[in-house]
Amino acid sequence: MAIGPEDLDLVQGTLDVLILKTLSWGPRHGYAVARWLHDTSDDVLRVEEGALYPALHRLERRGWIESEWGLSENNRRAKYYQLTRQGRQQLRAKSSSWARYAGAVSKVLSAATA
Amino acid sequence: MSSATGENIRPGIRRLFHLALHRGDRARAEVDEEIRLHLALRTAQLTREGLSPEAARTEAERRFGPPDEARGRLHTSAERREERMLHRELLDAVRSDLRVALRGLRRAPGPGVTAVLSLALGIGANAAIFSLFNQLLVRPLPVPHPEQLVKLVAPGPRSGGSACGDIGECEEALSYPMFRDLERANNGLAAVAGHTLVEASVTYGDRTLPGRAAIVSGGYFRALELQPALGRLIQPSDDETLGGSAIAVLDYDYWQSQLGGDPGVLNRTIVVDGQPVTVVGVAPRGFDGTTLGRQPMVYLPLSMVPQIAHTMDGMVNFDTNRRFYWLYAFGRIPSGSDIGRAQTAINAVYRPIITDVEAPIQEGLTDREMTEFRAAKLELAPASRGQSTLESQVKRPLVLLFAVAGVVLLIACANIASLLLVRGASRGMEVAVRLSLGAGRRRVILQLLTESLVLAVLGGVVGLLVAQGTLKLAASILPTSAASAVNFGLQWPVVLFAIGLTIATGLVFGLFPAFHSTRASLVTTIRANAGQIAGARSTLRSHATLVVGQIALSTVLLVAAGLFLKSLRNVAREDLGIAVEHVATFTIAPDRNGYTSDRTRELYRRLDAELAAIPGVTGVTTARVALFTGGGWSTGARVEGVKYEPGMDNGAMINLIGPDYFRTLGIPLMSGREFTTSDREGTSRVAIVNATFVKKFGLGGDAIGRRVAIWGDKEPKIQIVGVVGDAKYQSVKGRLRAVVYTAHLQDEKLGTVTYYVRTSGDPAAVLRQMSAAVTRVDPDVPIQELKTMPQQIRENVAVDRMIGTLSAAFAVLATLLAAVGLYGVLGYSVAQRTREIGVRMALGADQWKVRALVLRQVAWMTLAGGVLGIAAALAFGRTARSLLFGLDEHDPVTVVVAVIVLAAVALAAAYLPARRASSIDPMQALRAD
Repeated sequence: MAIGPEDLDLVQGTLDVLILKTLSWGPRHGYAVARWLHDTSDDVLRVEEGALYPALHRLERRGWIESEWGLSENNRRAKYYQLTRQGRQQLRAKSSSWARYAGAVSKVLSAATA
Repeated sequence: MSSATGENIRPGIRRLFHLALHRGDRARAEVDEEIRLHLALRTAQLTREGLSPEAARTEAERRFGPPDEARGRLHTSAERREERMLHRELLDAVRSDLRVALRGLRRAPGPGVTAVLSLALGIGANAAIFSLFNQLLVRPLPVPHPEQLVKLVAPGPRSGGSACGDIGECEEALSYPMFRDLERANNGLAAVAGHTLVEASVTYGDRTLPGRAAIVSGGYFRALELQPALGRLIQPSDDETLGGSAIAVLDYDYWQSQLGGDPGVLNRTIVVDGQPVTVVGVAPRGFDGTTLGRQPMVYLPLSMVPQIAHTMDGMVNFDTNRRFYWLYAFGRIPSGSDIGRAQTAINAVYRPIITDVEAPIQEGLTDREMTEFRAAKLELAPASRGQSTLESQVKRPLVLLFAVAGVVLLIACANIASLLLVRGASRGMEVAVRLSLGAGRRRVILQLLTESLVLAVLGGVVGLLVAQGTLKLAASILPTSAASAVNFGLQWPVVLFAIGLTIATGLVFGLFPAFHSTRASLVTTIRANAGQIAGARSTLRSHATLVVGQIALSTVLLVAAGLFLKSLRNVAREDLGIAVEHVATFTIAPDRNGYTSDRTRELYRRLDAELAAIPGVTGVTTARVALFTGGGWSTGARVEGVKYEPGMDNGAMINLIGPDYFRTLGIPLMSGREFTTSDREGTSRVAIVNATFVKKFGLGGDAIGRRVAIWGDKEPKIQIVGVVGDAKYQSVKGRLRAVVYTAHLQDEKLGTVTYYVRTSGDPAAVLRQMSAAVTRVDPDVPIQELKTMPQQIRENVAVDRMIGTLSAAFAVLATLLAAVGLYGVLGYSVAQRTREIGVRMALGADQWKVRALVLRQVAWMTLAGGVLGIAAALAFGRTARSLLFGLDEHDPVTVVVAVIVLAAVALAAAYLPARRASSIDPMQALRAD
């Protein structure tokens, strides 16, 4: 499933949780976030990489993540994003509501097919 | 971007030190860099997975999305993020600034409290004066387009009599026929209003209330363009036939307070001065009439003058008499026209009447006066605030007090600027570090400003309390008419003014130190702080400038207060010619209760007896015109055997008095006799004149026995039976005038009268018994103006007392503030010079030399400030000259006293710092660094 900009409204909230989750293991730069998302979802969640950065900006604007410049693995200047305390709280709240939502959706769907 | 300073600093640090924030183009550059990195890393990854470098690059770009579109979107979102973060950081910054400021205040409350109190006094005083200023001098009538209103002024000489007073100068009064002529003609005005005020009692149900009625022409409310709160207002049709419709429109406040706002009042009957009238409507809320401080209870049509004329003197034949001037007029300029065009139009009506009708009937004018009379033009003058003489009475004092209050505030600001300078100096290091870490100067200034604004806001809040207190004080010392025109509560305009003032002062006294402490270059400041020398010097200089300014300003205020207090003392010591201490007074107007002259005579007789029977009362008398109320009657007088020529000043004041008047009021009888109860109706008419009268008419020793003519008598027929000493009449400050006293009881028409009762003890003690005496005689006759004479005198000089009291209070305040400022700067300078003083003492300077060091500083600041101040005070005094009584602005004693007070205060403020300086231990001082 490829997610284009037109589906963005639908998945915006989802993408936000995913990014927060990705950053919960420590600061990463944008490419690393994209890569990690890609790898962990077994290529199912292939976010159009250009859409990732606006999401990062949005999260930073809300104060859930903050950024600072550092050096990447191969010694290039890279912008590292990390969760703030507020971001961590958001992640907790969003993942539990996401789990409830997903559970409810799959329940309905399985009931319909049964 | 400029440098690496900001970028490598952790965000927390950046916030902590308020360092420079990112801006738009930096955000875009960063986005570009992020994209570059992303593509590079992705390409490297794909290459590792086996693609050729070119294919890898293409694939990376494809995955990222359309390059231009993606970049644009990223730029926008990055900018939005930056903007939001900038706001948030600012908010955070302000919050932390506030915290810092409050913490600073809490840690060292002394200077902070001083600052807040100084400011509170300054802001409070200004807000209070502003409230008076706004209500008495600025606020227009609550009518649509008040700027279109103009009053009619008829300057120039004219013969005849006039009844003029609170509403306007006598030249603003017109005769009734003239007003009707102007009203009827095509006069260039959208509507013309004629109006006057009469003292009247209004009875509703069984309650009679003394007060005022406005008599207004049919065009009055039309010119004002007002809408009724209830029913209808007076219309031209109500004003068509004299003695016609007996209707009334109630004043809104009267309706509310006396009738509880009863909507059923329409078509009911109220009684005005014994005349039943039908209520047809209620004037709109907030409209207090067109004369400041003279709010009427009811509005009656001008056509009702015949029914209520008996309350006004000299109204005989008012409807045809063109030489009796009593009606005031204003009008509204039609939109599209202007004052010049309206004036031309109305003079086209006025001029022919003057030359053809009125010129032939003038009497006793000289040729020159006659020429002027014929050339006279009607003038239109702006009247957006209605017609009132109160404005011109209080204008000068209020402007002056406003200026004084402004000076107090300036001094307070200087104090706080001093305080912040000291703070700024002791925090020079912190500021320098911030600047060196890249914080913008603007950011640091903002932080320092926050501190001053915190002080200002606290000062403003406390200032509102001070304003309320000051207004209460003002309420007790304002002239009565002004007091009744003013709402002494805190109203919105005042609160808004105080808020504006708070912000303005916060900026003014905050900006100076803020710029000052961020101006110093890093190197100097840091070096200076290490050695404690260079930076302190420049701070000290700014400081000294402030203190010199403060001393100059408080010198001005001290001199001014000295002048006004001395003037007030002159007023208080003015010889009135009357022994007023043990006299009480009140006024009754039985004619308004329908008393005929005969019944009134009987009422006087019974009241005389009741009053005389009160224990402690040693004398009772009456006067037709109450003393020291500002009002007075005047007449032209002719004395038998003294030749009269046109143009000669034969004016005299006149009063109608009862028996025993001069003994009761302690006015010396120089020759002849007083009036007695035998000088009553039907006996041959007698008069008593005063010494000035004798001198003015050159009567010398043989005044008694001569006859005088007054009030246009054709023949002198009143015989002088006594000569008395001079006494003040209308006002304490007025000059002594020639006065003719006639026997009131010989008058055919008796009505309103003012009683004077002499007591052996405190007159205030018998006030209640006097009121009871009136009630015993007739409980329906309201007692008015019940007070002691000393009270009446105080009210008469209320303006002087207001200026004297407030300017003295402000001067004391200003001097205290300046002393605090002086103390602060000296204390600071001693602290800064500890080491220098230590060295001097180690080298052999004794305590006295060290004290002299401090005192020298005081001396030159006081001298510089004092000289500047006296120069300014003299300039100021010229503008205040008309408010001074019995002295001029160059009063040397006042100036010398002001200088002595100032020097004493300066020395007192210097005492502690000087002692501290002389008790410095040289060893410790040298070891300190």
